[in-house]
Amino acid sequence: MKQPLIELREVTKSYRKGDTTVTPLANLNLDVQQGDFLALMGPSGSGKTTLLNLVAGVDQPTSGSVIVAGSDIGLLSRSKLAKWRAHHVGYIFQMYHLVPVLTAYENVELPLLLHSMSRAQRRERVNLALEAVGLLDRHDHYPRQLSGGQEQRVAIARAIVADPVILVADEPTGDLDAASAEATLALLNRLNSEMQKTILMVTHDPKAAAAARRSIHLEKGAIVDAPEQVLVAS
Amino acid sequence: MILSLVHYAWRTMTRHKLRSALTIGGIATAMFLFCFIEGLQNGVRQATENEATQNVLIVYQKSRFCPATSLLPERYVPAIQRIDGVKSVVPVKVYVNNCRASLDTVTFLGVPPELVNTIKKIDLKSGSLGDFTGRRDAAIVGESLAARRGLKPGDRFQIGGFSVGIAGVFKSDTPGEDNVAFTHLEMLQRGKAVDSLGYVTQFEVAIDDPAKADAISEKIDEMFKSETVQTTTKSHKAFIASSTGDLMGMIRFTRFLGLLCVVLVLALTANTVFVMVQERVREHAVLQTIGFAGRHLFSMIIVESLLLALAGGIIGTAAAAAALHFGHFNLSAEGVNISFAFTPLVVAAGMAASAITGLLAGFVPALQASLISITEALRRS
Ligand SMILES: Nc1ncnc2c1ncn2[C@@H]1O[C@H](COP(=O)(O)OP(=O)(O)OP(=O)(O)O)[C@@H](O)[C@H]1O
Ligand SMILES: [Mg+2]
Repeated sequence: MKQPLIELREVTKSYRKGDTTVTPLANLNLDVQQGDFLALMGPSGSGKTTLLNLVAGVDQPTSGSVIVAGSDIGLLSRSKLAKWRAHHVGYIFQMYHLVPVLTAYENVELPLLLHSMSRAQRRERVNLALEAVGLLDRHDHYPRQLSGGQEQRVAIARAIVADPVILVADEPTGDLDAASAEATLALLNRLNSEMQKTILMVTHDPKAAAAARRSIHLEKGAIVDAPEQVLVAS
Repeated sequence: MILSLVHYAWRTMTRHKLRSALTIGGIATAMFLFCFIEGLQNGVRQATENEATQNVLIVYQKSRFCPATSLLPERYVPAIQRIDGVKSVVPVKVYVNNCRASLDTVTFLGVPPELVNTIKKIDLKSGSLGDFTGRRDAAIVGESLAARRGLKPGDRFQIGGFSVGIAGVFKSDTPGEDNVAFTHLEMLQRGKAVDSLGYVTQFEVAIDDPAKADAISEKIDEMFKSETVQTTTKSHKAFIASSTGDLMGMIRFTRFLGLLCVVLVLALTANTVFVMVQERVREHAVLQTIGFAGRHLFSMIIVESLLLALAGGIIGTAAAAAALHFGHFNLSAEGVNISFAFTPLVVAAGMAASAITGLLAGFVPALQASLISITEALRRS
């Protein structure tokens, strides 16, 4: 078997708050192969977002190792980690988190500002990403002029524009109506199957989980039943 | 990248248009005051540190401080002229329509017409010097005074008991002196109710070496010690300093006010930037998630702060420039004029002050923004 793209070994994450320590993740092991589409499920507070943040290099483990795309997240400095994120990860949020004063185009362009690219090169990439999510015609709209589903698609365009290997999504359909949720899931599915993006998606919705290739359940910071390579027909 | 930062910062300012406008308005007001005060300080510097007057001494009647009360006999002139090191002596009668400190004073300097070029290098913008020397009631007026009173050659101009015909308008390299009018000495001496023929307010003594100023001053005062009318001789600079004494105290105090203006700008900008950062904690966390590093956020906030401060600075400086240009303000005390000198130096000072305060005001909020914990900021909703 190939070296996994994401490799978590004995990962523990704890937060200190005054003199109490919260440990959302304890001694967790997880491998994710390149090209996988993994749904992360579990009750509120089980550590799903915490796990996602570790994989996305937004946070670092208290102990254990998180190796993603060949880099040990725990060993990188704050600024190195930022640069690493710019090149390897696209993050999709439940509440989209577009910058309200920038147009759809400018929002999608943001990650590219961190890469050495000419304006023309950026334009080409942004247009491709907007086209991939079917919103090229809305490029000059501001977030407030878009529906929730459209905002989320712009956010997905922003996540894929720099061509990262990994996409992480934290309840991407949590704020959407059924139709928009379905469209979003279909889009993620296409990104996985056609563009070979490895996707880690947190969700509460079994229907959403069904869209993924496999799903795992977290409970109190541990994986409870991780059926090995259970493929769900998509 | 920098361009995108400026673009982003600009968009950010439009988020809360009213708030940005209020802040910029406040900064502009403070910078307006700052530039006004700098202009005044600059005027004082020009009046006292004028190269051209370094070798000029002013002889005044001893213990007299107002042009109306200093009465020196013209017959002293030849004696002073004979002193070693003295190049020329010009008797001047000063008439001021208002002896107190005022913003709109008209000063007449009565000189022997043929000597007007000795006391001052006259650079005529319009009219002719010949018209001035030829007519007893002629006057040439400084540019600022002409602008303030709307005067041009051929006009008549009345002040106090005097009526003069404008023969020309001149420009001076010293703004304070653009506020005076030169007239014939004799006209001023005869025109008053009390005939003061033979008496003048002061002598302007040009010497060949500024280093000899003290020695020559002493010699002049010594010379008339036993006369009924005694003299006090000072360097031009010391004379201005003493005759504008109270005014100078006030002006020195305004320097402190100028500093307060800068502090005000600092507080105003810092406050707004703080609020801007506070309400965008989550947005900054999202940017960091995308891959922006702390230093990117730091520069972004600094650029926003600079933009605010500079916008206010430019508006305030421009307003001050317009006010001083069209207002021709001129402070006058005891016949000495001090103009608000709005020079490129003042513009530079205004811009520098706003840029520096912009940088300083943004520093702490920028640091805050660059050091946020991404996960904690993302959890806020
Ligand atoms: N920065 C932090 N500081 C302190 N405690 C934290 C922090 N982040 C997470 N926690 C705690 O860790 C636990 C797991 O949080 P996490 O956000 O990972 O849960 P989750 O599974 O994503 O829950 P939800 O489904 O509600 O989003 C919670 O008890 C939370 O309070
Ligand atoms: Mg969560």
